[in-house]
Amino acid sequence: MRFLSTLSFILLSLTSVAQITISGKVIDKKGLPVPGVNIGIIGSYDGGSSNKDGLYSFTTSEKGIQKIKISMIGFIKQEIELDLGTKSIVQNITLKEKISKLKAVRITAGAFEASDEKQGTSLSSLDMVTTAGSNGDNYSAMKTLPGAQQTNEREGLFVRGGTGNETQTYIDGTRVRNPFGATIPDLGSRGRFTPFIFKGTIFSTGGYSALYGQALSSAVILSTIDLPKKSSANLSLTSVGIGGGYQHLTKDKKQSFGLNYNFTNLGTYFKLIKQNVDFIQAPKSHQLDANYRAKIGKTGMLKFYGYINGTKTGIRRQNITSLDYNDVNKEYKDEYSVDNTNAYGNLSYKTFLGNKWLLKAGYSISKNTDAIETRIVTQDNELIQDMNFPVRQTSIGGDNFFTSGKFVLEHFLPKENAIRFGAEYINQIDEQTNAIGNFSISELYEKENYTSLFAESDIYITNNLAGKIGIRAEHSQRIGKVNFAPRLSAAYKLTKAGQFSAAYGLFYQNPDFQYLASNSSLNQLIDPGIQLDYQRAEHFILNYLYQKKGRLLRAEVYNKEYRNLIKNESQNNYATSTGAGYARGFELFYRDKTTLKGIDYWLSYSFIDSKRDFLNFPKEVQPDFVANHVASLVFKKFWTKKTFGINGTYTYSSGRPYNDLNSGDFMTGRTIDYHTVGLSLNYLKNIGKAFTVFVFSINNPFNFKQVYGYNYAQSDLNGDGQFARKEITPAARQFVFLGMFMSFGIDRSQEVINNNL
Amino acid sequence: MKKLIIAFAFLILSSALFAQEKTKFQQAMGSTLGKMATAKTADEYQAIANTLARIADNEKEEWAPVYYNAFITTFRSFETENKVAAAALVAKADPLVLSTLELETVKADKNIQSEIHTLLAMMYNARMMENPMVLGAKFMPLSAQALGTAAGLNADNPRVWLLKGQNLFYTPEAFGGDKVKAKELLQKALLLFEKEEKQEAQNFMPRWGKGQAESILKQMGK
Repeated sequence: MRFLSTLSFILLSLTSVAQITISGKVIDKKGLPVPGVNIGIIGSYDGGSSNKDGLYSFTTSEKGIQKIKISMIGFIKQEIELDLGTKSIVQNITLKEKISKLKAVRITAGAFEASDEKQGTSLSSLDMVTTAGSNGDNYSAMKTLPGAQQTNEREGLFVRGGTGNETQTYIDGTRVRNPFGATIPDLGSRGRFTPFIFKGTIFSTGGYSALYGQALSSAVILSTIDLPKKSSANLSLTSVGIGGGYQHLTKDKKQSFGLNYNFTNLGTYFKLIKQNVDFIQAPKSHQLDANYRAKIGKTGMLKFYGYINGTKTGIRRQNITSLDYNDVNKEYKDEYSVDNTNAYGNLSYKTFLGNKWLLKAGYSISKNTDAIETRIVTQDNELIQDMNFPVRQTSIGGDNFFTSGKFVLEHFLPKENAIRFGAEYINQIDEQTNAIGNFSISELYEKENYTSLFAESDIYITNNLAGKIGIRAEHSQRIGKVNFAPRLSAAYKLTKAGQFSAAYGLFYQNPDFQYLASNSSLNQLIDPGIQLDYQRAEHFILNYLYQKKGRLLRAEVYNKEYRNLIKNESQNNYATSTGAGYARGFELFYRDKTTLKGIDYWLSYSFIDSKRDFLNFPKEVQPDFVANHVASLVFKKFWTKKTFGINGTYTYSSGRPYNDLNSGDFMTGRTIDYHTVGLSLNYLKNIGKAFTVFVFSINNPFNFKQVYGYNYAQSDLNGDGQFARKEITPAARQFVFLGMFMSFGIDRSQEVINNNL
Repeated sequence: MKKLIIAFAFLILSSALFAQEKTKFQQAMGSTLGKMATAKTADEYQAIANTLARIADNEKEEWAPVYYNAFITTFRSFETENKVAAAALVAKADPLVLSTLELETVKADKNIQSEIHTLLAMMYNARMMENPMVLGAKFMPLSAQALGTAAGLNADNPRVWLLKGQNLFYTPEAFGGDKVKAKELLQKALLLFEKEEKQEAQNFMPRWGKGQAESILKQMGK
């Protein structure tokens, strides 16, 4: 044996005399050396690898014409032929970079993306929910990002000079009609969806894709989670309610269903901690939600999510008009109560058709019913009998029914290029009845059929230059016109870490149904009314992004022009589509996970200059929902060994305009600056078999005074030429939360913390 | 430290091979793996990985070149600073390693299958390192599942217990970590490693991991 192997060794050495060397340098198109390239003779083991200077060299005893394969991850594979004789060969190689998702430039203008699946996003889905002060509300977390205003007294997300209505929410592709919970005027509202059902969030502050419509200012694009890893049960006990649920995964791991119930009641909390307003009914809600998810075939995924929610709340607070009497015996109170029922269902399906086509289809349905009662009462809670107040008791019944269907077909082309197109259909019926006392004064009814077609193409020219061209056409039956909305964006990578993106687009949105309805409710035979048009916004955005080793800097400038906004000078006139406005500004976002060890923080700053002439504004002014400067600092620290974490948020907003009725000019008042701090502590522990998270959080621990604006008396009752007024403030300066979340069967640590911080 | 461990493993491996008559494949594999013992720079590791890739191109029925190529990528990823790029490379190797489970030679040998599942578990761990807080929820269960399969195929595979112990050791207690149990598992791994050393290595069966088990046990203060 030994002898044989020695012999073969000698033979091998002899043949090596006939070996030749092949060597050279591998460079890319820019002439830079490419290390790590595999250069080998096909059908043989012989070959080499380029070093850090791009140089390679290997010997071979192969002869004649041979094919050489040159391969390297991220570059286009090459094959060359060499005639191997007795002389060594020098062969230089130029490699062409392959366009790949990993290396290619991404278009980042306008959008903040939170995702665990995609690489290089600014945030993870965990970030969305571990942001202190947000108390488990997605939209509150988004308010720490540039572009959003701190309009916490109103419903909706106010982005870049837009109202809350100008931001739309989409879940798995389809639009959500009522993303916010029942609202009491001046007390704000929370989002209806728990962050923990989403795996990805895109918060776009402008320039979004042609796949999304009917949003003038901003799009919140959410995608729900797929199958869970295990079956599990959960239980929660907090200072504001209880909840529980079960999620089941079938044995073949192809289907899962779940059911959750939550009961929230702030009654006990409000008894312990005094509020600025008197609650007749502290917010109380029941919510039952259900989900079903199934893998169908090899690539298909079907998902259903739905809930039904009932919420009641009612308050009593000072009537401001009566303050103008300047008479303690004539101080009245406003009663306001709302009873809301909301049901929502979303069905989505996604599958590959062959390996080049992807189909995404979605259908959603929702129904929302509000019953709102208002009364003006005396200090003894009796209905007032004062003739200075012609409207003492009102009831408003609101009802909307919304269905939407949408599909998108995506076709993948070589080099990461893709085209996608599809259609969307929305049908909605809105009804509203208004009554003063027992007399019905108006009934609004509005039916809308909306259809849209859209197409979009991703174009990768090189890894450093990419663009997206899209067009969307919409037809609203109610407006009776077709609009065309082009959307363009492009990105260019300057260096490995830095890149520019730009976006341009037209965005259309129907006027709110109240205006559409009241413009047509008069007798059309005598008076055809005024046909309203689509409201329109035009966005220009330029963005610079720098990303390196856990640090990210994002700077953006934008200009937005509004046209055809609703003008409604008085309730007796028709609304017209003659309003206009603009918003421009710049924003900075800096995130750093590395400089301070173990501490992750981000800073955001927005400057905005915005004016508009809409609704009842007498002229173009800065509206009362726009503050010129907004800044946030968010930090997170988790001690893994102690399983303990602290999250904090500080937010600043400069004062906002308000309309001071006692000054001659419109909208010239300025509130004081706004400051708030949110802190949350969480501790993770296994109790028996239950994985448990304890959460304590407090908003505004330093007790800053927060003023969102002023409400004025509606008439000058004492005739002194001055209108009495009162500050608009939160229901309490502070909010404290204590909770315990248990899960059985699966380590839901991440999700649980997220859901509730 | 890790380089030493690898070196140790492969010295045994190549010396064991030396005693036998070699085919062209065995010779090439043997010398390539031998080079791992002395590799220091990124260029050297890349050259070895490239050689393994060339061998794999020519020997479609062999699991070993694919296994060791992925092994280098995975081990190197723990040492690289750019975790995003490293995780992407490991992810790219994933389907290649999975496809070796379909080879006839592998289907016939439970011990090889056990080794491949163990490597897959380590690859999931590597991909998690890109962002442990976020990706843990996705990859930890996959890693645990692969190790369960590996243990079922060959309960005497010391690397299964090494990785199980290691996972328990590095996971915080609230997330299911357990230092006491980790120690037990690592000690079990060590006994199996000692047993393994007494046997002759065959067919490039993996031998790595003993040094790693020793170093973690040392950290615990035995």
